[in-house]
Amino acid sequence: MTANAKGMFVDTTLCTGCKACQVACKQWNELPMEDEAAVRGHTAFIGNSYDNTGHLSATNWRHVKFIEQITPDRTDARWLMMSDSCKHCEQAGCLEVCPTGALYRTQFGSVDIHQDVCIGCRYCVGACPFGVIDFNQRTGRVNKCILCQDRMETGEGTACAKSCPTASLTFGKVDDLKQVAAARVRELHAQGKSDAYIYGWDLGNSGVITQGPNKGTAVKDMEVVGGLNVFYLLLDKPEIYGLPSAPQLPQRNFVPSAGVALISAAVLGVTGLAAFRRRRLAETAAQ
Amino acid sequence: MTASTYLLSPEWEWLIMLALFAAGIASGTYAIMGLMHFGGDEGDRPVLDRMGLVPMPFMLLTPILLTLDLGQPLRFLNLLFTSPGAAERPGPIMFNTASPMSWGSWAMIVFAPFTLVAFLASLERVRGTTIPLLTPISKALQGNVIWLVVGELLALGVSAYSGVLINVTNQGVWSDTYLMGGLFIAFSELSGIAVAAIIAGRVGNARTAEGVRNVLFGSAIVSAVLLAVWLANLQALGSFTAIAASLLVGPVFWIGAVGVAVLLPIVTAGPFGLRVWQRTDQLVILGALVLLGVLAFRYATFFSAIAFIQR
Amino acid sequence: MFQMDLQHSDWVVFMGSNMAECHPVGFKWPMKAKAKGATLIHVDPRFTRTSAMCDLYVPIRAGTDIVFLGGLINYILENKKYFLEYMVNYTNAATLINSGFKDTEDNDGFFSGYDPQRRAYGQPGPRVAIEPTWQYQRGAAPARVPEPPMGPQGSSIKGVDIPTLVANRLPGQPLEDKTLQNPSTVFQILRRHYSRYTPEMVERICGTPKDLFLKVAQTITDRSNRSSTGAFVYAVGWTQHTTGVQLIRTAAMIQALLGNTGRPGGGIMALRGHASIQGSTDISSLYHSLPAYLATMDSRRAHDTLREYIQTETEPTSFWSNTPAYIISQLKAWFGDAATADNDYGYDWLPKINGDHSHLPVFVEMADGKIKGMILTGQNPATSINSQFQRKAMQNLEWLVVLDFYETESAAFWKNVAGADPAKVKTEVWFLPAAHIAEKDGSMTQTQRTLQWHDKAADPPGQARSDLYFWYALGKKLKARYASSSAKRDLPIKNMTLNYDPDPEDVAKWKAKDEPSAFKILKEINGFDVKTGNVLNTFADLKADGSTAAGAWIYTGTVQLVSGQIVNRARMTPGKNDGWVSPNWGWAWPANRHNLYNRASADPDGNPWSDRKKYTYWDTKATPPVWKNDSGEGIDFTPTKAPGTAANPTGIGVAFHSGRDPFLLKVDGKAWLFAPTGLLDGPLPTHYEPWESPVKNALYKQDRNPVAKIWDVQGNKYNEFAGAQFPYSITTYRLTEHHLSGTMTRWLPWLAELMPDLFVELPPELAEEKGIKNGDFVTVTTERGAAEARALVTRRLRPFMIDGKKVYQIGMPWHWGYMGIATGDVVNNLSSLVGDPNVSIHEGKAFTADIRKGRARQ
Repeated sequence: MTANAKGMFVDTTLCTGCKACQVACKQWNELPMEDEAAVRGHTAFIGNSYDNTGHLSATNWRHVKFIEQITPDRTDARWLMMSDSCKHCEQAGCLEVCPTGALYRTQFGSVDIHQDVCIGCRYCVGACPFGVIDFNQRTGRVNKCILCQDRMETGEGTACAKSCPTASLTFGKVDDLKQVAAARVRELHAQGKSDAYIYGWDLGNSGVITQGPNKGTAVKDMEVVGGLNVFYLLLDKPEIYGLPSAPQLPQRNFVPSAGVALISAAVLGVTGLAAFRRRRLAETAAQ
Repeated sequence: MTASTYLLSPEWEWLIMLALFAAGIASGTYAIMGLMHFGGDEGDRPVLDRMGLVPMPFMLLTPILLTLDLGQPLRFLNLLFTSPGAAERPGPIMFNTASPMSWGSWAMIVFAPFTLVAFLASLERVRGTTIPLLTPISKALQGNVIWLVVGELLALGVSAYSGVLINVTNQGVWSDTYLMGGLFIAFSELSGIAVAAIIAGRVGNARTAEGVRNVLFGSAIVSAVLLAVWLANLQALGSFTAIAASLLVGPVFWIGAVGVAVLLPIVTAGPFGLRVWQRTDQLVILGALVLLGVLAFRYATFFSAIAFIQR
Repeated sequence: MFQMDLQHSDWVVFMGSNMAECHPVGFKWPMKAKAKGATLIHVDPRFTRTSAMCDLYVPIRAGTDIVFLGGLINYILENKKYFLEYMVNYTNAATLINSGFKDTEDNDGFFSGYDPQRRAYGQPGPRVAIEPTWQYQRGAAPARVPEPPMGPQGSSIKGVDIPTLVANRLPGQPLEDKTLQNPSTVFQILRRHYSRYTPEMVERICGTPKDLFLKVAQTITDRSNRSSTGAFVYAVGWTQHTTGVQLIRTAAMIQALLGNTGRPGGGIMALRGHASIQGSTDISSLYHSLPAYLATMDSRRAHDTLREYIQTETEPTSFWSNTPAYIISQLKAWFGDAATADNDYGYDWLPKINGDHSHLPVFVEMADGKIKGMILTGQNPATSINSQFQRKAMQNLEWLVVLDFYETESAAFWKNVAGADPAKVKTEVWFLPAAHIAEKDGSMTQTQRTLQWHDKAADPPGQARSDLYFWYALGKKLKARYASSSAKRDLPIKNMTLNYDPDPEDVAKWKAKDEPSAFKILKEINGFDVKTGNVLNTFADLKADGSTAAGAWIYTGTVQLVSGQIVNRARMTPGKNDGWVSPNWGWAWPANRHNLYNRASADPDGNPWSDRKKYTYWDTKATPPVWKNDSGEGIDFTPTKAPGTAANPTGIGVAFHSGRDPFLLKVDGKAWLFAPTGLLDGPLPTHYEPWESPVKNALYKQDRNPVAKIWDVQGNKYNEFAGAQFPYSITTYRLTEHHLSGTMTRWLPWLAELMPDLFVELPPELAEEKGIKNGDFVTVTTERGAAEARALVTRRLRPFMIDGKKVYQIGMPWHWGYMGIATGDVVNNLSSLVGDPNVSIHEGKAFTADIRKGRARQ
């Protein structure tokens, strides 16, 4: 792990779904209102609960998700909310496939983008296991949350964490945040909320979901792709939040794929050669 | 592991598909040339000479199409040389060993002169046209075994890299198996053989034609095996439907990629079944059909990722 | 209460409030309470983002809160869960009421004293119903002394000894039975009044499952005692009903019974919505009150002269005994040197109201063609209640001036998009661009009575100017016009002080050099000594002899003279070293007291009720002994008045109260469980169904508030009560992403894209009945009109079982209009002109509607 990495802890139990983080991000980074009709092919209203943003994109670097879990008889009801963004993975798929060096690891452990280097090949878009980074049609380059690199360089934290009224988003040293997160999970478990677990690091917690369609399912902390510098406290399975339960790095396929290609080439070469030579017609007869 | 539906698509569509089809023709033709050179004789010369003219124009087309697809086309050199904007990188060569695209960019750059050499040598033999200095050098190189072997390896690399590239992503179908590199080599070779068939059908003799038919049959068998293993794996992982059942991709895949490119040669160009393409000039049609089938395969592969996300 | 105090609550009930969505920043304080183990409960017709943060969500049909809260009172009384010592000493539980009093239990939903002809209780008169049978039983009043004769009009106060006038109106002391057994005690009347508000009745009328209701009752009673307190948090979900005032009062009664008011973490947190809405009622944009809540001169009341006004309005036995000083200081502020004792300080120059001139009746007059012109500053009536009625009424205006940032729906009321035919509208419209908050100096007074000053940071663009500049420039022009007039009606403008020109250094770095000085105005509102011009530090210094001037006595102390320096206490100093009360974070009127009635946080002897809830206490170790508060809070009591002080039957003002009476603004110093005066619709909150309801009243034969304000005018047809055509209960509300009618938010791209389209929330059961899928276009209708919206099908709303009948609850956020980036139909096309009798507030929170699949217009 990057020494003294900076990141964020997203405690979804404190999220009120106010979207101040989305607006703060837009304002700090001067991002335009997404033209949904042009980019996504549907009108602005999505109506997925209170989510009209739909997905992270080149101009939506933060996206608050809403998941309603209410039984028909209304006796079991909860509304999960989660502010999603780039996770600044310790092993980042986007970083590994970038052919120009536009994506790079900063001194803070985050993944930033050199906008003057990116050629817009979109390889990173296909490589991210979380569907975060996106191609910007207007600029021809890719964009995502860059953990407010310019703010970090002046000693500040992220704009979104600053705007969060309930401190659901907190910014700091990842090592410190991990301790806070572990304590928070223990506190919630002690209050009977055994649903809580950490997505991004294995801090040793395990519990059981108490509400919703996955009630009774065991959950435990999970480290993914080497650890997430922006990590989450969740109350249900990752899929419920639109997160992969076993995100993989594209790299997993490189050597095996190259190996199969090599073998295929050899087989094709041998069979092809053999096939070509097995001509019944004699050379002289053909002429 | 099956990729999830909350992914974003890199939207590698028509331009990429055509670019890699062109690269497949260039590298496939070059590879088959090598195969026919080592396994054939003087009777195959007329076909071989004309095949040499094919790789270079397609190898010019590929980077043009790829560059046109970029969001920032004028910055294409950043693929090869470290941009000053990436100050933390040691310069000046830009090479990311973890990125198949980086590998492929360099492979194509290095392979290009090999296609030029083949072109110039063929130009002299077919047209009699010579270019001072370049033609004699090309002819000399084309006679050098090491040059030819290296060129062959590069050709195989160019054939394979784009398959490895889409394998090294998180997109549905593309990254679900390890087989894309092998499949892309197989279909590149198919397109190379198709080119050989077209040329053999025009200027080749019956013996060359027979040889080409045999290679087509053999490669189609290998491709069929690869396809079957691939489809079985996708079925097990649940992403089979993106290829098989989607309207976007399904019909083109089954009819074009499976039917025309692979089954057609197996059934009609082999030792059993129908013996359709007995006359030499009929190979032109077979070659053209197989080329179309390879194009269908390219289309189905590239658009399957989007079909997966939209399912 | 103030928001930071909520961190000390052991329970919080959010009801009539969606605090997490509508006060998201303030919501951090209940979250801190939750982190410390408090129980958060949300009672609401919808499961909202607030419900998501609470430990318990309790569903309730819109408009039935009095049944729920009355049910809590019933639970408290029948299970003896009241805080006995607090209740007996600090409330009027023990006070005896007139034996002729008849309760709604006796009269099928009416109290004694109802006149069906006038549709009113008590003796004729607006605002304050004095019904004899509701009054306290009292002992003999003190002996009267002869009064000086009434002076001539225009000089009714000169030479008059005001304290004598006031003393002559001292009442006898209220009679009590501290054992609470006498059937005429407020306590016994209360028990009877709420005897049928049982948990079963709550389930029948509110649709709330009995077990959930009982959970709430158990939580709040278990956690309200010497060492635990809790709070109700409410907003317009409680105010916007034809029984709104009574509704809020029910909660105040609960907190008085449970002994929470005036204590840390306890009481009622009233959440107001705009950044300076509190300021707009303090400095009064309300027709019926002058700044600082003095009564407006009213031709229907005994207000003919200043003396009469003082006699009528001064309450001899509460803090309002100082009314003479306040009104006279106010007149001095307005008219300066022109106001003297000889001319009753200009009292007669001021016009008197003669009716209800609030928003709705004014627009009814406008519809009748009686209003010629209107100036709108930051107001958008084109999207207001029964909006089609209001837009149509505006077409009768000869002229309209709109000051705003954007071309609002009201500025564009005459356009096709507003449903008008421009060729037929003769109104002359001026649209003046307004400066934004960061583009002007000023103060705002927010929901916890705290003034907060802000400095101008940038010039407004182009020709945009502040509202202050507009009114100042207009006033100066009017003054110039009337300078030579001798007509009586021109005297107030002719004589008013209007001298807020900026000093050169105030405007040195800004474009406009004629921007009036907001600080000069604040100083005048604060008050100053007329002779020296020195600002006054406390309202205790205000006098009734014309030697002081103060625009609003409640604000006195905002600007202070400290060691010869003028200090603006409304400036915010970061509170990190300030303690949790943060007394230097702005200025909370009155006198920087944040939690009112905090004397009640000590027991009758002045000791804290517990160590855990120690707040204000009587410090016997100090010499002389004095009331103390270690948290930096302002003490809401006479500092040196000992707890054991006896009530003084001839004492004026708070001297009339004993040292055990924390509620200074009440005539008996006690919290009123029973309200003998002040409310037009009864001394006790009573459940009446909303004016439009899908069901009849299960408690009384009288279905609805018999004193509600209604308007039988064209364009305001009411849905049939409990009718079949409009069978669904609809409520309207707000989202975090937008503000009010969207005039500030639907023009901002970053907010417009968060909630771009109007939607209606409905339960899946209803959606299935109507063939409606999530995202479909649907049309909601009432007798007044229609609103098209997208359907948001969600289980967060539900069908209620009301008295055996299924009643669906639907709801719409009302932020949309036809101007802006994100546009949509105006939800108030649906609502009707109907109002609470006390304050004329509308009933946007509960009425009926129909819904159908499909667009409104093809």
